[in-house]
Amino acid sequence: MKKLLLINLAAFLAIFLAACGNESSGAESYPNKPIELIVPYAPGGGTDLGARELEPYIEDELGVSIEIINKEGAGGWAGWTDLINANPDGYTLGYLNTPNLTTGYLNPELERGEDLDSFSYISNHVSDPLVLAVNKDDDRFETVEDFIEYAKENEVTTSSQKVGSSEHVVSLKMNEELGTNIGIVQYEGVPEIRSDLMSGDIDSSIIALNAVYNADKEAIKPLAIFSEERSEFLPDVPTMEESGYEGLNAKIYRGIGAPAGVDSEKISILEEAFKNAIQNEEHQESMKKNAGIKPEYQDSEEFRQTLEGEEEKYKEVSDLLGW
Amino acid sequence: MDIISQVINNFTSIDTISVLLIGVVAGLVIGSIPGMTSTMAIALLIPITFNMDSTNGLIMLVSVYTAGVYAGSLPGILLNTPGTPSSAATVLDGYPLMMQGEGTKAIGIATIGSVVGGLFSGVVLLFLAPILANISLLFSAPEYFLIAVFGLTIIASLSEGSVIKGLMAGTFGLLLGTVGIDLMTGVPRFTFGSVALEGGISLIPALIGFFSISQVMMLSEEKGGNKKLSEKGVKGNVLPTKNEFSEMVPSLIRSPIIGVLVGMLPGTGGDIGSWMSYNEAKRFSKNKEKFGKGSIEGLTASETGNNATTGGSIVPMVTLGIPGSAATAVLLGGIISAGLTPGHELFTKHGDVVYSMIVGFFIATILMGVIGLLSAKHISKVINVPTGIVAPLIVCFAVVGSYAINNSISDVWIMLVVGIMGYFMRKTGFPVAPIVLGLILGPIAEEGFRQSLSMTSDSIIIYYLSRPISVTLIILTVFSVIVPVYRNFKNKKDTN
Repeated sequence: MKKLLLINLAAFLAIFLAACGNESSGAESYPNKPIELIVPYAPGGGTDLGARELEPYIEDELGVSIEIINKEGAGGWAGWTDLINANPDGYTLGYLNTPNLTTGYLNPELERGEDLDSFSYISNHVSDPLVLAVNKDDDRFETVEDFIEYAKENEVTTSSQKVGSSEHVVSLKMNEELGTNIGIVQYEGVPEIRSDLMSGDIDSSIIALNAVYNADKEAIKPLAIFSEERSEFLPDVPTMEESGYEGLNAKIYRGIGAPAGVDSEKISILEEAFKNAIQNEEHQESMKKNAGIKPEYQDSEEFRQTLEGEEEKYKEVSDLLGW
Repeated sequence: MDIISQVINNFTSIDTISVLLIGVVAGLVIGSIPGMTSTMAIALLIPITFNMDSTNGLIMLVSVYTAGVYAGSLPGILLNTPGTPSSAATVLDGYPLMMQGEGTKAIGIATIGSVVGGLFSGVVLLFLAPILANISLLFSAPEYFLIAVFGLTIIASLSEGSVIKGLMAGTFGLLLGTVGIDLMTGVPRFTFGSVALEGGISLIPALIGFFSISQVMMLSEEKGGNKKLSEKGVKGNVLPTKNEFSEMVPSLIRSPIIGVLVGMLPGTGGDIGSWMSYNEAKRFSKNKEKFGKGSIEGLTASETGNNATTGGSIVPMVTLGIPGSAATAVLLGGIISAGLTPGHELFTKHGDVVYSMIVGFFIATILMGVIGLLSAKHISKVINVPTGIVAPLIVCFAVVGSYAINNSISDVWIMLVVGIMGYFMRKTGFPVAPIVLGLILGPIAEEGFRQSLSMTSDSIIIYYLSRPISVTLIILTVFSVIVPVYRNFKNKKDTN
């Protein structure tokens, strides 16, 4: 018995000392050990695939390996809670996604204490505008004007992914500002939305562009895009503004952040690495080709401003959401 | 003709055969570790396929998928610990068989069932994909609600002994299913301020808790540490006898059809496929009393049903770009990464890739069967291991598995709490299966019903009655409740 105790103690000491050893060599040059990247969504989802596409380019830039850790739950907040609580030593990074990040701390029901100051920001990775899409065989809607005019007179249904999502907010704004009667059906994920749109169980879908891009193009008809410019993926689809509906633009962003309090020197090193990786042409091409999504680099400051902008947008519509 | 020769050409290359083999072995290993699912197996391998020829990459991914779903049954049968949620129903009869010393045979039956289910779904995928895909579109929120309700009607008969206790357990399962953020309003329910509970009670930790931890606690209080798991030893052959095989036949015919249909629907996967198959096997069985005590019919149904969902869930994925399960959602990511766009043109433009993938699926299914049958005799020897070794090992697996599924320590706590709950339920004669069924089907029923309320401005009753599949499901549900009650009533009258 005593012998066992001794062995255990020895093992514990060995591990403890080894851990100390790591600690002391940590400060010399950053980075010198693997970096964890928390993806707060399931493996195989859009964020995860994008992260895995980017991973090798970041590794090339930083010269250390990146370990992707999937931690899903609570719309991303399971992962973000871990990120916030991680040691701000620059070795734990995470994807920050709108709108879930923004709505998570703004929704009073959830009683969260976090806000934008809970994180450090490194860069944006991709952005994806929303589109309004209908079933290809639906003769009622040839253009977005058809849709809006019809929706002013009749009730139409559209899909949204969860309460407070960008899709949800856009539908509420359209009802408020254009006088449409859009009924919102909340969904858990994209597959069910596509299925119901193709079968005509819902009249329309407000959904991220890449979800339409990757769908069967013979079955879904995009009517308009909620962004300033047309998208290279759907060059024939007009923007809402072109069609005369202003102030409805909505995009989702996915960028990289860290816990609050990471050294500004380390942030600059990471910023530079992510800049080169995201702007790498090979990466840009493969993201466009494989995911139907465009990498859009923003630096640390710009990314934070983007998130502040999102916060503003939500505060404007808080009464629509009942927040 | 061109496509056929190209496909044959693919399968004579060493590369293709070896990725297929790697896929099957990886699937078997990952699937049999509790807490690691076939979904995770696919996700882990996708980055590897980036550097491969796209055909080979997809062959590897479908091989992992089918082998992973099958392998989940092995720890379920051997240790009462389902390796994946798809194998939860397998445990109900697989483990009792094992304890009776029939472990080798139980693995044999599960293997045959899985191969039959897999092959049937492969045939369907090959010949009927476009037609079935259009049928899958007819299912929407109202149908999901009704399917879940239909599935729940079996609860009364899932409970050995007291029906009241079974119903209480089922209701408790439904209640557990309400934990988490309400999809329609965004309000957190029963989360007690914990971020970990916002997504609901995670299914895998709950399954591990209910089945394995409670079992370990029973084991450790019943027996001394040196005693074997069961004194019965290992007997019997891998292959079932003629009589046993004829017991399997109804399940081998019914379950693949159920599995494929369930697999096709985007909201449901292998877990529901196996439960539905199990339920229907019991509903139609002449030996209902054997279920839960080592029924060959039940084991066959569950294992055939879950593997039939694999091909079924690929159907809408390749034809419509709508994945039929979580695992195929990841697979879809793999297909898109390979530069292919799912949809109607996938079969015409990239026929060689798709058909090679389907043929690979067939070969992988057979290969996993061969490996399973050959190893059954050896792995069933687990029964000879003393409880004092098995019990701590199961606890290790349970903790690691619950943590691994989402890198979350709170899932480990959920597993432990649920395990203790399961222990007291077993002690007091409450069946565990209805809780699990409630936990799986409850959220589907709720989401389906509330979505359907927001889908129509008409009366909800008119909406349901205007949908042919809904009407069929309503009739089925009503019958499944009335028939047993009527029979009971008649039997009592006759005996009086």
